[in-house]
Amino acid sequence: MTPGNVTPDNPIVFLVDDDPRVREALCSLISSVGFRVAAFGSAAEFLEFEKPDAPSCLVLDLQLPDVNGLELQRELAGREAPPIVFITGHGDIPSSVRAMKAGAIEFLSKPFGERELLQAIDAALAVDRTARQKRSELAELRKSYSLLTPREREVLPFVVAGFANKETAAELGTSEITIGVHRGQIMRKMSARSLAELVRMADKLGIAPSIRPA
Amino acid sequence: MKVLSQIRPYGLAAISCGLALAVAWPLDAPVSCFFLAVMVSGLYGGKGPGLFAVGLSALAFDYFFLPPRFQIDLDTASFLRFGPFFGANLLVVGLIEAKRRTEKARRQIAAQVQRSEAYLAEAQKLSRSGSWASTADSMQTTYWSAEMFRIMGLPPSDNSPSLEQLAALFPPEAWGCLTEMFEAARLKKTTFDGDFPLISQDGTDRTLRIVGHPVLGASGEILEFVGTAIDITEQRQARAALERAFDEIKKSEDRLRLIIDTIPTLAWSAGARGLAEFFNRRWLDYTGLSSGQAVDGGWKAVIHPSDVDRLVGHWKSLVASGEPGEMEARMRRFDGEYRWFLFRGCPLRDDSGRIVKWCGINTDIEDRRRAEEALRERERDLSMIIEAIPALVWCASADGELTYVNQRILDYAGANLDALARAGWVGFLHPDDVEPTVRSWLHSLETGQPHEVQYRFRRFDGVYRWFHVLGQPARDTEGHRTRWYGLLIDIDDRKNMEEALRNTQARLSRAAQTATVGEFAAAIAHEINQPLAAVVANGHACLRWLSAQPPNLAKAHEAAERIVRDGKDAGEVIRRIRALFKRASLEATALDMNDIIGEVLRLTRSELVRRSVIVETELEPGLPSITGDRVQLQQLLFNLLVNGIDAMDGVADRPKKLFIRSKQQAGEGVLVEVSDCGPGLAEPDKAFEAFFTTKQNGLGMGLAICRSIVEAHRGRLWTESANGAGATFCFTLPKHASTDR
Repeated sequence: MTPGNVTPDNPIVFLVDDDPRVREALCSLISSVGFRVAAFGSAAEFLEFEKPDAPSCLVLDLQLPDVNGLELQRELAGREAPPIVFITGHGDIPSSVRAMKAGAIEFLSKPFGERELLQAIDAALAVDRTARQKRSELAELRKSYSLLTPREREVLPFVVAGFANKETAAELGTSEITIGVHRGQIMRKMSARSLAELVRMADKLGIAPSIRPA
Repeated sequence: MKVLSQIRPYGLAAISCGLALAVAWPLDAPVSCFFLAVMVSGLYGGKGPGLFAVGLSALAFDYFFLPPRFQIDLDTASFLRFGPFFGANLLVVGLIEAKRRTEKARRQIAAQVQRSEAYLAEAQKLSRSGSWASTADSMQTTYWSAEMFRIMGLPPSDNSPSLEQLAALFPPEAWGCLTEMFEAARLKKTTFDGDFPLISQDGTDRTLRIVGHPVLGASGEILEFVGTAIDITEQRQARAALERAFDEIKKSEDRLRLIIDTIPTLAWSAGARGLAEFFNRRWLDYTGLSSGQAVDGGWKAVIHPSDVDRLVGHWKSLVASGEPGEMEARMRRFDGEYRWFLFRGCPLRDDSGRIVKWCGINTDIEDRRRAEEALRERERDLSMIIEAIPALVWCASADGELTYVNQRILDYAGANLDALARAGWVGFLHPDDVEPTVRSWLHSLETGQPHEVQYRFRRFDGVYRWFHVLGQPARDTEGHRTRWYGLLIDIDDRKNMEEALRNTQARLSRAAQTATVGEFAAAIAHEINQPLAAVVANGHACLRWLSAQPPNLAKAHEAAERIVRDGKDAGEVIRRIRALFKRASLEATALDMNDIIGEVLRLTRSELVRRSVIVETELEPGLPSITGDRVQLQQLLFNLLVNGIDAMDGVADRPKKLFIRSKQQAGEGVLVEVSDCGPGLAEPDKAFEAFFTTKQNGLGMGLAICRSIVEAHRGRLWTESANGAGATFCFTLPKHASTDR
């Protein structure tokens, strides 16, 4: 929890609170730990902000003058948005339940201790890092997949379903040798070291293995 | 005349004798002349005049011609002449007489025959029958009676028609048949008899019955055929009509039977002495008995064992009395289920009033019985309910006469219905309630409006208890009032409670005031938490900046300064809240209403933000001071604001706007209006009543407290509501006595 702990990927903490006093105090506290902080007085300001490509999280006040914090959370859902830590001066149980159900990392009532806040921020950043990692892996896979020819994409489901080349050739009406060539190309283009790895890749890409005829 | 006509032949005889004498004298041929005279007299006058002429001739012959002449005496020679002359004359007269008699008899016979023929013709005409005769070996007729021609539609003629003419009268097949029959009769020497149609001459179909039989000679040969022909057209028609009539009767009988078997009821009939004769199809289908079984006394077997003796006894008594009657009994269906039936029997009498038959029907009344049973059950239930419900129930006729009260009323009053009826119940009312109660009741009786009144009703032990009385008229289908039904509800405890409630309302309102302050505090928690959170965060930040390597003193300093500033803020908030909680007695000081409005708005700022409510104000500057308690007035405004915010909870189609206006009111001091844009007030009169609320979680005390605060300040609080366009709460407060601007 010292500036030395900060990982080299230089994460950023977004802060949205309409009370300038709270905003100032939290900016100071968060930056004292070594995180970059970007503070906003309203949801609109936050939405307009150009987010840098770095692990991030959002510390969000539940009551905002323009949009309610829960509404903003709903709006951000499914947009590769940063994980949210809610803070509120007058929290009620239904709001906190809704926030947590919608995927919030933490729901803190003011006034809160620094430990609670910083732990929540760390947790949120960890979640974001994992998500980013997954996203980039998937992007990489998609890129590899895009290199496959249409015929290779046709062959792929049979390969990952464990069909022998002979069977696949019979299914697709071509020669065993051709299928062998396609298979080699697929392994090479997808950079798969083993069939097991290729199966995992197909799974991540959402490609369903062909169903073996009864 | 008769005498004359009898004498005349005699005269003629005398004259002819005279003439004979005159002719014979000169000729001297007396015999032949007198002979002629006798013949003439006999032929003309008959036996009498003939003998008379014989006498005269004999005398004249003897006297004038026989010797001795001119004497009557006869000598023997003369006698020999005279004798043959006389004998020949007598013979002539005898012969002439015999001839005359034969002739007379012949004429008589002829006349008789003629008469008979006329009778026959008349008979034939009347019976439309004709007679005919034909040759032995062909149909060629030799004789047709006059009627034959008429029957055949031919002009009368003396000659019977030829074979061809005859054949032309019949249709070919009929003619063929006729000739065939004739041939057969001729060969077998038998009579033939058949009906034959005629070719229609005038459009009517006619039929003849022709009978012929052979007349046999001594050696058995056929001499001729004689026969009759009868026009049987009418007879046939009559028979056809009769047949049709019979047919019709048969058909209508069938129809009747069909109706009897089809009518949806069980029907039967019995003889005059009560023995079953007939059961209709439905009866048989219902019971599953055959007609034979049923008639054979089987009908008794399908009557329920518990009913059969009663039914048979009743039936016997009906038969004995000859009166129609009815009775209910259970009858077994083919599947063994017993159903209730109404048996009805009715005697059928002939013209003389004698019973010839009994007819009856059995009507299925099972459903009706069940309905009746259910109705009785319901009636029992209802009466039990009426007696059991913990209320006093009464019933009165349309003119207001008490006809029924339930047991509870009797128990309560300790009196019977007689004591209460005929306005006796009025005597049980509290003297103070008699007049309004009676007036209301009479009004209801007159107008038919429901009767609703509260009065004190004396219990058996003399204690009066309050009752809420309701009476409702029952009407028939035409809307006329038939009855009044009513209820007395004991509200004595409620009345007492209301009284107690009124007494405690003041205390309650004070207690509720504290409760509202609690709500108030929760709403302003945000106000305290905000600076507090800042202080805590700044504190942590400050420590971190200080403990950093190297310490960032500038940042730590900034943080510390912010701690001081936010700490002061928090202190200010707390000070304001404490002021609210300070429950000083009504402290009348000079106050500026606009200050109070501003203060409350500041305290509720976050609540307004949280509920997305925009506040617009129009505060008149330089308002006169008013006299009042700051805390109470803050609470008044706070309540009105919260009320407005709550009222706009459901508003989604327009901004939630709260409008606050203050202005000077001529003579009255200061006017404050709080308007919301919610749905408005449905019952503005009730808005200030304690415990009246339209909110799900409201206590219903907020506006009641407002009113008591305003009234304590000698002001006025009211509402102005345009339904659907929000509500406005207004209050006025008198200006401070010492300020006089």
